[in-house]
Amino acid sequence: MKSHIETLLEVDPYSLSQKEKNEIFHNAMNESIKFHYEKSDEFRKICDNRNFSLEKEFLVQDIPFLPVSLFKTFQLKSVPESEIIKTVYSSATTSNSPSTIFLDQVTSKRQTKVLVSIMKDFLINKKNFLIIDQKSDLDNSKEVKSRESAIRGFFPFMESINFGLDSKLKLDISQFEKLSEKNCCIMGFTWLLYTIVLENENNNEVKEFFKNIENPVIIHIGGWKKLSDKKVDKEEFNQKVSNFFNCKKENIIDIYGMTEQLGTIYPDCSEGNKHVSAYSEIFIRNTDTLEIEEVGMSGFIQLVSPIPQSYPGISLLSDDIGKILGVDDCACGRKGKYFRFEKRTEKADIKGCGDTID
Amino acid sequence: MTKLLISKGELVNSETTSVEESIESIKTSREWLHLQKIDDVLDYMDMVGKQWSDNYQNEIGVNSSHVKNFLSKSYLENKLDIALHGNRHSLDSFVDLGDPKLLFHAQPRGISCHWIAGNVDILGIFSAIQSLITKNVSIIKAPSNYDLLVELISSLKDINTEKISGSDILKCFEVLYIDKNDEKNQRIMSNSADIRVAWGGQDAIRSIIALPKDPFTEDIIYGPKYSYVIIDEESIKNQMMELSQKIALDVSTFDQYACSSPHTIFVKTKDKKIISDFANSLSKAMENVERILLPKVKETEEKSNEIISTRSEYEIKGKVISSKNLSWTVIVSNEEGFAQPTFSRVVHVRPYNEKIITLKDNRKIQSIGIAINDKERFDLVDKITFFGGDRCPSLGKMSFFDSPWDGMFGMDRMVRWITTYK
Repeated sequence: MKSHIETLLEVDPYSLSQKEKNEIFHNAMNESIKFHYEKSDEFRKICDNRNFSLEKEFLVQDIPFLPVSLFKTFQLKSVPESEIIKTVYSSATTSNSPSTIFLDQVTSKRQTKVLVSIMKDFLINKKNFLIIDQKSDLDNSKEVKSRESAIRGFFPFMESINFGLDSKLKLDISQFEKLSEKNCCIMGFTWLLYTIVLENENNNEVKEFFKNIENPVIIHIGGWKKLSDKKVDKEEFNQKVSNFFNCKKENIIDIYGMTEQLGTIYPDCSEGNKHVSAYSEIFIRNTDTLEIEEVGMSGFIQLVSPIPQSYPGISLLSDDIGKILGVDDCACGRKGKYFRFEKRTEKADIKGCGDTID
Repeated sequence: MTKLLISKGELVNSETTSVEESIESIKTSREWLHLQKIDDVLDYMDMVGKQWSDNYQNEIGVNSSHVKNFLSKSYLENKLDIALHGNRHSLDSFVDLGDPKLLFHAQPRGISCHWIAGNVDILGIFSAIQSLITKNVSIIKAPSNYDLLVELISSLKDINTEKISGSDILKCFEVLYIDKNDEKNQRIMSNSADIRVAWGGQDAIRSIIALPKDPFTEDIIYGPKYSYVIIDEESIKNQMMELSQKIALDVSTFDQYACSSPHTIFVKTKDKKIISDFANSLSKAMENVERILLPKVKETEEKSNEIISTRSEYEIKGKVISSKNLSWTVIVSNEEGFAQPTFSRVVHVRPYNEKIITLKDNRKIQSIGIAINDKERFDLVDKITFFGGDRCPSLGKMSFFDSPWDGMFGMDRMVRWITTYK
């Protein structure tokens, strides 16, 4: 009998209504949670501590969540070490330690498959990619950073690939002057892309170059923390990027996702909304009560997906704040939930006269 | 932004560009305060304690009865006598303290500047009162949530005794809100201080003590500190529910943000079941305190995130008993030593290991709540406080401000000792 997870992966990412998706998704999660409960001591302990029983009927939202911080403090695996083919490290943003994610063949294949399915809905054909980053080692090494991993995920959409920055992270036009004028996609990490745009705003040579590129698609990924600190909002970002690269704002795609759940990404649609595909689910939890919030209310973003097999990251509570805007009715035509990312929470200040202990 | 909240004996609440006017204004009250007899000032404080306890019971919360007790005349007489080497009247004139040749007089230092931390505003009020009864005038830098502080101090205007008028007393306080980025006004305030009283965590204290000051300025630093509890098997067996309630109160008061709030409960036993039973009892008490006495105020998203992370970490490393929401958390583990505080009513229950506690000097330890057999208590307290710890109160009273506090008699440090021959 075919696995429920494999069945789910055959579905189009945005064709099912929420109601149609629910049963297929629940079956896949049921299969996934049984696997991780049996294989991961840490996941089982968390389930047991929260009195979650596989013997009873449960809703997807009842599946115990793991805060993403756990991947910084524990080496979470649900398969033997011998099956690990790759280790992905997140960039350490809000703390000094990165998340460590262990991937096996099954998880890696599933991630690639869902990423391709999702992005096919946004990038119709292969494109000539200009990566606004320094040239990185994209071979099949066992240890990869999440930035490299993200670039690799887009390989199937790349007709060609050029890197735009030198080793000092400065724009170097000589590295991409052969870039085709048509069918271009410029991809970068949100803060780095913005920094490069700012640095080169008055660089006429660069501006002339991009004037000749015909309405490129811009894909940017990664956190907004550094830009939020500088009080740069999405509107300002889009305006500057659109001016600099000479593209329509609708062609700027901000992709939300987590290193702890690679593959199931959430790109912006033409309406500026992030869509939940068939392969994952999003819940918003009240930051005080942890109850599920209604549409329109802000809270912690919880991400649920049966894709991970090698580690128990199937239900994650992120430290991001967002809100669901609607279900099945986005003007772009995609079905399912759609949401907006609002901000990332930081480490709390110590108030009062109490303190940590050495 | 800098706001004048109370100035020249009036509730003001208006923006100002400089704190210099407050400094000049407060100086004019120094002589009046110096002329008041200490017993008259204590009569006045006794009246204040009763009125605050009656009128602000809900706002002050569980500390309300302690405020009344602390401000009572008999209590302050006793505390002043102890702090001032046996005779509070040294504040009024030269007194004989037993030296064969010398008489002693405690003169106020002058202007006492207070940096009061958010979340523990009531503790800050105690230091302001200590300044007043040692006849120092005060400039108070209020925290951003200053409503209660301002309400209590401004209420002094309407409290009068036969000898002292509240409007004169209120002129001994200037209360300001100075934005933490307004370094200019903080420097002016610090430079004007004869005493700097600072309440806060490590970062806050570091930035305050880095401000310029006169070489003769006395610094009284309250915080950054860490507190814990030791209980033994016998106490648990005899009074588990009562102990749990008292510890729950200590943990929940000030939402654990005070230097005197316990973060780790060490249980002296080899029986794991005793630890487990106690943790369950403590959990029920935490729930009751939250529901009945001290409802939890909504936390920041950042703090919620930290509580969730701590809970999950210890679901793997131990056992977590918690409210369904984020109100309170009891964590049981076999880890030894002090738990890193998460604050916000997250308390760890751990096995006691004397070697870990006495491993190295730790001046960060403030209160050690104790419930152990009296025969053993004094020896144990002596042994552990050699390495760190400023007070070992009984449970349920850990956050009750007292003198000495943080290992020092604050009121003694607020005066200059003058001698003359007999």
